[in-house]
Amino acid sequence: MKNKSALSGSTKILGISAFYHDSAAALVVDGRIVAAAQEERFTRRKHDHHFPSNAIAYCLREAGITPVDLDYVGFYDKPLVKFDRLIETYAAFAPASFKSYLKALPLWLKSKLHLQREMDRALGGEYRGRFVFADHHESHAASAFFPSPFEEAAILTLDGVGEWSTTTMGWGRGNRLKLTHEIRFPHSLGLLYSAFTYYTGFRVNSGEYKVMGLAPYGEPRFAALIREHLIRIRDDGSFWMDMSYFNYCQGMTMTSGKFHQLFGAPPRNAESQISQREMDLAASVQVVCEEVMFKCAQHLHKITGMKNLVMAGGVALNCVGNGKILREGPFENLWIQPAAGDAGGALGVALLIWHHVLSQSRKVGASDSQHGSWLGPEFSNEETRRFLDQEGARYHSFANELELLDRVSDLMAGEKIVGWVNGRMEFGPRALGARSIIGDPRSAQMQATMNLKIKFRESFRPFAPCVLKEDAAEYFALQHESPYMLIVAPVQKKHRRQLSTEEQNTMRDPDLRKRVNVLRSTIPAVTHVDYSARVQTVDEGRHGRFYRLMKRFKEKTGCSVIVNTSFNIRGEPIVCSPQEAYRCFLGTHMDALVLGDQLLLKSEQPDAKTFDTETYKSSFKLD
Amino acid sequence: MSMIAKIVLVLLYPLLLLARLVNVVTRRDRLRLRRPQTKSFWLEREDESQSASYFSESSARTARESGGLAGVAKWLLKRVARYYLPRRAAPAEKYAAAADREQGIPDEVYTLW
Repeated sequence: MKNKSALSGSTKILGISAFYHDSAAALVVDGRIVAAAQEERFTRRKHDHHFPSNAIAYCLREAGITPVDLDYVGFYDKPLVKFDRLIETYAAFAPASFKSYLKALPLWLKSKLHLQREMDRALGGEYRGRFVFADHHESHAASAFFPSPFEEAAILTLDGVGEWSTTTMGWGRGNRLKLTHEIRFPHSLGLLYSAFTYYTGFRVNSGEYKVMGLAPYGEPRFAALIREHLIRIRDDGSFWMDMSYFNYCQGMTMTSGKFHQLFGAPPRNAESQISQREMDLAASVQVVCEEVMFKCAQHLHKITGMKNLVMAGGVALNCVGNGKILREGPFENLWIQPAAGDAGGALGVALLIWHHVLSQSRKVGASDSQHGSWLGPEFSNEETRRFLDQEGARYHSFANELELLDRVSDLMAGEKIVGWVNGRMEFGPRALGARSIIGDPRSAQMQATMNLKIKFRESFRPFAPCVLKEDAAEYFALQHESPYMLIVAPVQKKHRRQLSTEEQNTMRDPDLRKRVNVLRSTIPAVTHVDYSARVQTVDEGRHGRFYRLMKRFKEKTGCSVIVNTSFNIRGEPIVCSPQEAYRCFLGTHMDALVLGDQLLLKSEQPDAKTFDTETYKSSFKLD
Repeated sequence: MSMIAKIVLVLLYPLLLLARLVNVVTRRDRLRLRRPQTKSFWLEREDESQSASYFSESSARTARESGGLAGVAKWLLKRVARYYLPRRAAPAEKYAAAADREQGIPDEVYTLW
């Protein structure tokens, strides 16, 4: 866009999420999503909670406007409702809540109770309009329904907590949405999952993926205990939790002594050995989570009679649960906001203002209006080359795309690992082919190499496959597209390998590295131990050059699948600029880097051997 | 945070203690800590999607339910907060929030706060 005169007369709406988790900004112009980005990508602090000044500056820059030009600014929740919940919780748990109360309230008195003033200051006092405050779950719902390709859909939002709501359901039709039912704090599926994330020794708000990835290694032997003591689940998916097992209302931890007693041990220390017990705990909470998600979906289908479902909220990033809902019905179609967590709330509130506050109509196309979630900054070849020249990097520039793709697919087919930066950065937690590290999934060593030498992370964590959309059913039991990598599907039986007795024994080995190395399919690098895979389908319309690269890789190898993992190391936000990509390239065992039309080979880089990898790694806090 | 504010917070906390006692006696249970004997745990949401409600930092339901001693505590705390209203932005001033999180408190706790 970047042409201010082109926007005169249009309605420019800025959405903001901030102060809790994954701060972000989104800009909607006349109902069209123009830009969206998380603050962490600019500040390089993962899950940054600070006011998203950098993300806002980017969004405005993208449209070529300043705060004076904005017609509306929206915040993704209602602070006074949250304050009401906080004080009621402290009252309900007094006197045990005293310490928490004393720690939490100063921030409210000085900042959070003055949100309008804070936003006004952050916008340099230049914004002249009114501030809008949307309900947290309504923001989630809007982020799921309005960009979806559905004229009408049932809506399900599940997260930790917003103001009071933790789970809501309702429906959307045309330019309206309505949430009709809710579960309220402290009863929360997201917080239940987080409690187990904490208890199994991972960091809450980022380790939930690890719990989900660990679950297939375990047996759900604690699921009955969870259902009997921690959470009561009704047939309609509603639930109630016994708070005597938890400590998050009144304390500084997720679980209470009673919880530890129930499961027979204190929480695992972070970074200590992961035992079969943790794997079983992960499997158990995953089963319970899926049960609630699935029952909610069934109930929602029953009361709305609709054939489409849209979802958002942090729990909607549980792609195993999403896959179950899609496979086992009853909904025919499912669309999930790619930035399903709090970041997506920024987009949601902006769209709510357009459709609800301004009552503007909504046009539904054959595809969604999320633009592949490629909504962040991009960098020109000139900018990239200027930077590389400054750094003294050696690179090859390709004026012809075919030649570039030919070279990169050759490298991949030779089991080289490639950093890939192309076009606008993704909005949301997944790398979707704009800031990705890619490789050949047929390689036996790829998963271990990528985990330990590139990502420097736990060896048990699986990688996700990208598959050409037209070939998805050949490799995976998936009948729908999955452009945002939010659906887990089983690898087709014909691609699975029969395990020998020895390999079956290895699959019971306490050392997860040994289990990971057992080849389970023709695409072992992206096949989890239970033969599942978190699939991204890639199509030419959305993914352009990335699709053409995969197509070329297929022509050379016969394989329509590649490994796709986020372009970062453990604890680092996904790279945004060529500078960050180049640093990550030098700091890891990546073999090649593509920055737009430029290809860099590690073997040719003068700085490759002298780069201080340890300092680079230690600059990010482990997640 | 000034010592005065901390003293005010300490002085107000007994109100929350009293609120809990009153809640126990009157069986007021906004957090549903006692398991409801109902076939479903879903609660009906009130429709607050009229345009006017989007310009409010609160909600009609909160205003209605936020009574009792906890309500008094909230009202007093908001009054105290007025003394900490951040000043307006000066021209070309780089923004920094009026307050930030305390170090050493887990992220998930702040997510709930």
